[in-house]
Amino acid sequence: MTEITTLERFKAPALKTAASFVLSEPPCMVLPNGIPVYTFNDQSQETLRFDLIINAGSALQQKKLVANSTINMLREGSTRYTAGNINAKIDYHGAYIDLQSSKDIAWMSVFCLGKSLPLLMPLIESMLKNPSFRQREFRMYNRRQKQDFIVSSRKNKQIAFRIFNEKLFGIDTPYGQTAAIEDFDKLSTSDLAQFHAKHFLPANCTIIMSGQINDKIIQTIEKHFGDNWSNAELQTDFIQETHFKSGLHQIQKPDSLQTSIMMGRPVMQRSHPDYFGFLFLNTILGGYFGSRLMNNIREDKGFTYGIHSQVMPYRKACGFLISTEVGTEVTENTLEEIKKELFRMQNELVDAEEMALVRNYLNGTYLRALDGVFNQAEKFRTTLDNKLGMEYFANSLKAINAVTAEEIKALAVKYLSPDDMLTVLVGNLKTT
Amino acid sequence: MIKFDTFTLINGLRFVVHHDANTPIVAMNILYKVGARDEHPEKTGFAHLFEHLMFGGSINIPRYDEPLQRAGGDNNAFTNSDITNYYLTLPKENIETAFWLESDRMLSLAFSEKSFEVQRQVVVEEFRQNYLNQPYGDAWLLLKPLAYSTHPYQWNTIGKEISHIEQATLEDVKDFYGRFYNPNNAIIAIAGDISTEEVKQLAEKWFASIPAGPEISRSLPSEPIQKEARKLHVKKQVPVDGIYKAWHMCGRNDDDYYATDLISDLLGSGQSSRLVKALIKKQELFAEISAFITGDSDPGLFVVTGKLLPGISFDAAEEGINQQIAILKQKSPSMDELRKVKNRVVSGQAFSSISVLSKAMNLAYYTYLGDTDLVNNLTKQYRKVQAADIIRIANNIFTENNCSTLYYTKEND
Repeated sequence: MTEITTLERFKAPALKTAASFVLSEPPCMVLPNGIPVYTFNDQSQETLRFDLIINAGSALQQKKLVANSTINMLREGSTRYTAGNINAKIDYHGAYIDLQSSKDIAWMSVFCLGKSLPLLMPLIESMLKNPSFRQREFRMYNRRQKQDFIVSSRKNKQIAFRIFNEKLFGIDTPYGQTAAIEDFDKLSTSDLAQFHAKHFLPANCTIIMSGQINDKIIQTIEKHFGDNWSNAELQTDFIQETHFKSGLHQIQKPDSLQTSIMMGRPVMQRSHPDYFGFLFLNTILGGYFGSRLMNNIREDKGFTYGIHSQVMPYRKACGFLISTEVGTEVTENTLEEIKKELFRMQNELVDAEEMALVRNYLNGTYLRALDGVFNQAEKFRTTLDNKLGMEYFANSLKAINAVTAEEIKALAVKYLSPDDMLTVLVGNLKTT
Repeated sequence: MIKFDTFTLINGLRFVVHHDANTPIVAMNILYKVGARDEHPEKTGFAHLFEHLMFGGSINIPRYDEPLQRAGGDNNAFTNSDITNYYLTLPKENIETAFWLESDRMLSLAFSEKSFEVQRQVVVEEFRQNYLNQPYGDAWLLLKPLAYSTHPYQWNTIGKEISHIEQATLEDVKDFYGRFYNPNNAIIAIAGDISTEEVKQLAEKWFASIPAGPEISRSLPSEPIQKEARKLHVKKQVPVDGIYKAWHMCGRNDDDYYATDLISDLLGSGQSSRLVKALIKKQELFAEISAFITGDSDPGLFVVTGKLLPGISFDAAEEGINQQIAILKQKSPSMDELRKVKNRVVSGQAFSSISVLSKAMNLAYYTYLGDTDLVNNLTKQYRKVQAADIIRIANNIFTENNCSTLYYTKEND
């Protein structure tokens, strides 16, 4: 008797609830100069990740591109090391350095073998505290960035997102500012040096370490970053006054094969009572592969390779965005279908089966996203802006498991009216 | 050290199991030994289109994604010239759901007409989004047929042209499935807090009754030695000029593979690599440049590609690349430089041993290559490489006649 006759292949195996996991706040040590150092220790790891986060994002810049250029120029030379020295040393140790900025913060991440970090520390210290912003390196860096910008400006998706960002927050506001090609030519090394002097100070820094951490590494951190390396005063915070206007914005690109569609609006911040419910709603609508938008517009109609919705939280505002790229000829149909899905969220209760599915999926997603010290450190970093801590994820999980279909519907009524949204279309549009 | 067990079911399905008690997540990776190289020259893009159809429902389960998501799982897949690889992660408590889903789509698909129509359209949109509606998106569609005259690597995974996808029929799909989607043509790797015994039981229960398929005898035409330099000039609506140079190199299982990979690192991986230092920073010819190998099973390509700075001619840019290659052919890299590229391999391996998913993916892939132990021995293979190997291989590969060059020119607007 083979098993195939007894095996009921059409029947899914019984599901079990995943063991609940405990999320504790990471230990925090404060350096003599006040920099908090959070550690996610796992001795079984060979590798280590060091993150230095600075409150020096683009919202604080007085001139466009300054924040991002400042952090990126750190690897282009310091008073003690040339760009060549820095790169040779990083590569020699098999380390990777990632420099990035967002609207709120700038950060440097170093990935390396645990044993290499103490050897790299003098270098990292010098890069952070004493960048030299040399003219020649800056000219080359800026030229490269400008060329990347020109290339990306040929992509409908990029064009659409720039417009979306401007209209979402207001073009003259800290969050709404968007660089244009001529901004690259207005930038100089003194802009970067000033920005560095003003914002790269201990009171603006946080350190997160994850992986193979020991006392020696902690001492090294204190030795290199614990002193009062800047006497600049902490600046007053920026004010984000969002000016949002709903409506349609279209950019005609005659040669396009696809139209980039972006649709969205500002929504509540992470501290707002509606926030976790809205995350749940967003998942149902367009936040995972089985979402309604994906099911309808990709899996049923075949209009697109992908369609997604997302919540984009910043420290002082939050955006909601639906985005896709669709065949030129189905642009109108896609807009219709998106609206249909929004109305459906507003008018119909999500049935119990879909609620359960999304609940389980999100529980699994959290389990994955918080698996292991590196993921935990990464997630923890995203909570720093609003000082939410790991508790944020525990609360989020609680909310995911408590939210009701009625609440979801009420949130959709409150936040998802198509008329309240901004729509940006870039592609070969029918001129009517 | 990544410990693993292997076993094979009676139908030929291979399993590799790695136990990792430190995570609540289990990863399963299923590798089918079929890729774009197995396609008919007039029906290209098929292996990839097929990957999409694997999510359109199987014989007993109308939808693949929904039950997996209900079990808290997530998944994805990719197709390349050699393999089609499916992978998922889910909470360990629900691992049986993965066995249930994957065994059913290995047993038989639903072959729904509707899912087929839609996925054909989705892939056409993918073709447009990633290859046509994108600056330089079609560069590989041009470069591969230039470099390969005979071997099926001459077409890309997405297909030669959209019409091949539009003309695919459900009959083609069934035929493809019957030939390649069989237990004896697959490898399953599982990593997580699960014992080999448990995996064996579940494997017997869900997979053992799936009948083996016909043995696959692959007789792909091998690429003849290239006897003269090939050049292709195209003019397109792009903001800056780009250059793509490709040389034929050895296959993945060749002894010289590791040294060739290190040559690509010496030349163009990392900010301290030769091309970056010389051609971006010193001579200011390029805005960006990189060197890499395709890593295919059969003899693949060594590629150098870059975007020129405004005002730089193709001649000057190419001369810059050729100079660096000439140095490589004549002069040994220093011990330090060689150690540097090896150190990068070592740390790269350490990073790829962190998550159960990347461990499962690696285990399946190395098993496919015929040596599961590579998961622990890979760095040893790189360490063996000597400076003399670098010179010898550089002289083999980097000849004018072995090179295909695509000049991607900005159209004056």
